[in-house]
Amino acid sequence: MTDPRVVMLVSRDVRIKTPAAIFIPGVLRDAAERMVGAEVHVPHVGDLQIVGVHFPDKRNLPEGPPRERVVGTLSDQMRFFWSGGPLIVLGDFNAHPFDREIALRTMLWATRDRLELVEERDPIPREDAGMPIFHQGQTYASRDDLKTVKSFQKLKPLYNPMWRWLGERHAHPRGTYYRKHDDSIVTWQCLDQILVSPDLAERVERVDILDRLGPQLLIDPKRATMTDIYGDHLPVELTLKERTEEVLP
Amino acid sequence: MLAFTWNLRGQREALRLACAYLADKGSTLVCLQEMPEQVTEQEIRTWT
Repeated sequence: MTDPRVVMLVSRDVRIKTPAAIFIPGVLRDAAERMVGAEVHVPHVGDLQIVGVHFPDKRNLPEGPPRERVVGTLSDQMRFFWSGGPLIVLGDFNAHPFDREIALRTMLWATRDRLELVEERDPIPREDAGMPIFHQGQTYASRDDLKTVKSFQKLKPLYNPMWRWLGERHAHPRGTYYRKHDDSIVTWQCLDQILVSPDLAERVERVDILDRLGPQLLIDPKRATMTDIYGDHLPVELTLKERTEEVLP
Repeated sequence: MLAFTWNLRGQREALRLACAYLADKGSTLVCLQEMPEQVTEQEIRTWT
């Protein structure tokens, strides 16, 4: 591979049913590198859709209409891909959990509170209606044709457990990304996130920002900043409760 | 089951570390961003 932006890997016991199923024709030059999706079967969990993302860096694409168009398109594609069942969306969103691209109902619509997961909304057509769209193995001539697709008729929010990390922290880790420059609101930011569909929300056991992997510290304890070896992001890990009442085939 | 995400910033050592960490974690879904250049599938399997 040659420096791709997003790579999905699965452990050997996970069966890949449909790999790399997200495609955006002609909308974003590098869109295919910013979002990939797959349908998998996980033992004791069942069928899942997973979407890996790497949203544009705000230094290269600052807040404003161009960014909203790009992120809006990526959000739409995630919605097209999502069949309405169990879904995990994870990656570097280059945005806080409370930023517009994560929280707005017309964007990813990832909520802080599980109470809001009962809501749903109709999809809102965008200016790019009329473009060919690839969705769940079929090509549709325009967004209008998707109105007949059941999974596109009502949109549901996602649950964002990363909100749990936004309060005051008295020790490391204090975020997933260390911003070295003085123009940031907070030095430690929470740009890397894992979102889940409503039907997985109650099965989120914990979500952790990892400042060490095994014996290896990822933060320089003397400077309380990132090491130079492992970059300026920390990993995020979500633990999902497995289904114990039955053993799935 | 685990879901794991990390922006590696192209750091080969970070990828090696992640693969070693995840090797014995059971069912895992991994999303990595900014992979190091010219990593082969064989290398990842070796590390895990």
